[in-house]
Amino acid sequence: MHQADAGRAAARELHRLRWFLHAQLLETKLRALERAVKANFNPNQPRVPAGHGRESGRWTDAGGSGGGGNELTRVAQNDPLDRLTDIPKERPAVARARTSVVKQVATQVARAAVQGVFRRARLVLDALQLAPWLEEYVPYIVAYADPPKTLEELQNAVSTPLKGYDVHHIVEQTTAEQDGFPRALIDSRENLVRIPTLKHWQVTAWSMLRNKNYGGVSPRAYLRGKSWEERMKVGKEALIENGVLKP
Amino acid sequence: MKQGELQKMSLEQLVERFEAIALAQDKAILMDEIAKFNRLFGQLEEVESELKSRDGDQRSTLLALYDHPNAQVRLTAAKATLAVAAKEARAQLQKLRESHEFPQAGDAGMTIRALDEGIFKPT
Repeated sequence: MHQADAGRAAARELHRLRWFLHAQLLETKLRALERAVKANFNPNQPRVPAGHGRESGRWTDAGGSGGGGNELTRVAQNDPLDRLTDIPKERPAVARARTSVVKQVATQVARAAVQGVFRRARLVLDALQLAPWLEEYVPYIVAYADPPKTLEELQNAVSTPLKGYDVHHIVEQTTAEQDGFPRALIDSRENLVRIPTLKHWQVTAWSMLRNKNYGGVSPRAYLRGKSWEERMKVGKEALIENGVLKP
Repeated sequence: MKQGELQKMSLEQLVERFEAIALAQDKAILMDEIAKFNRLFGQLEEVESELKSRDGDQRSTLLALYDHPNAQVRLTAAKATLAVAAKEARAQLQKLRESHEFPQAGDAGMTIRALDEGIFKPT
C-alpha cells in the first residue's frame, strides 16, 4: 500500500472505532437504564470499587436490593468488566503507574481482538467507564491490538507519524552505534518500522531483560559484537513473536 | 537470600519461593523496572540451582506451576524444566506462544527459536 493510502486507511479505522465507541457507550447506558427500570432497581446502587480484583465493578448488596438486584448482578457478572481488574478510577499521579494500567488494558483488548472489533470495542468502553482518564490513551490501546503487518507496510508507515505509534529501530541503535555501525545504516529505511508504541516499549524492554535463552544475559548484551545481519535477524524475530510483523 | 537459607528449605518452600519471584518479575515488567527484574532473575537462578542440586534433580517439582494463572510463572517454570522434562516444557512454551499473553508469549516464541537454533542449550 502507498504511504499516503496507509495513513488515510489508519485514520479511517481510528475514526470508525471512535464513532463506534461513542455509539456503543450510549447504547450501553441506555440498556443499563432499561434493565434498571424493568427490574424496579435503583441505578445508584453502589458497585464494588476498582482494586478489588474480579469483583471490581460488580453491583454490591450495599444499600439493599430485591430481585432486581440479582438481575443486575447477573448482567454485571456477564460483562467483560470481569476481565479488566484493578483499574484505578482516578488517574494515577505517577506516569509509571499510569503506563502499567494502560498496558494491562491494552493487553486485554488485544487478546479480545481475535474475537472481533465489537468485542474489542466493548472492552475499551468498559475500561473507559471504569476509568475515564484512560480516554487520552485510547489510540495507544487500539494500536496495540493491530494485527501483524508485512515488513513493507511497517517500513512505509514510518513517514506518517500517528498517535499511538512509534518509529522503532529493528537493530537497536545505541549498542549498534557503540559497536561502530554507521549512523546512516542504523537510520536506514530497512532498519526503521512504525509500530504500536506499547509494542515498541514491550520489545525494547524484552531486549534489556536477563534471559536464559542467551546464557543469562539480555538479548541486547548477547548481540554485542555480533554482525548486522545477526542483529537484524533477532530484531525481526522479536517483532514476529510479539505479534507486530507477519512471519 | 543466602544459599544456606535455600538449602534449609523444603521442596514445597522452594517452589513457593520460585513462584513468588516470578510474580515479582511480572510486576517489575509491568512497572518497567528493568534493574529489579534483572536482580530477581539472579534470585530465580539460585532457586533453580538449589532444586537441581537436590537428589534426582528436583527441578521437576516446578511442573506443578504449569497451570498457574500467571503467565510469567508459567513461562519461568517451563524454561526451568526444559532440562528435566523437555517435551512437556516445550509444549508449555508453545501453548504460551499461541496464547497472546504478552509479553510472555513473545519470550516463549523466542525461547523456542533459541532452542531450535542451538543458542539455548538447557542443562
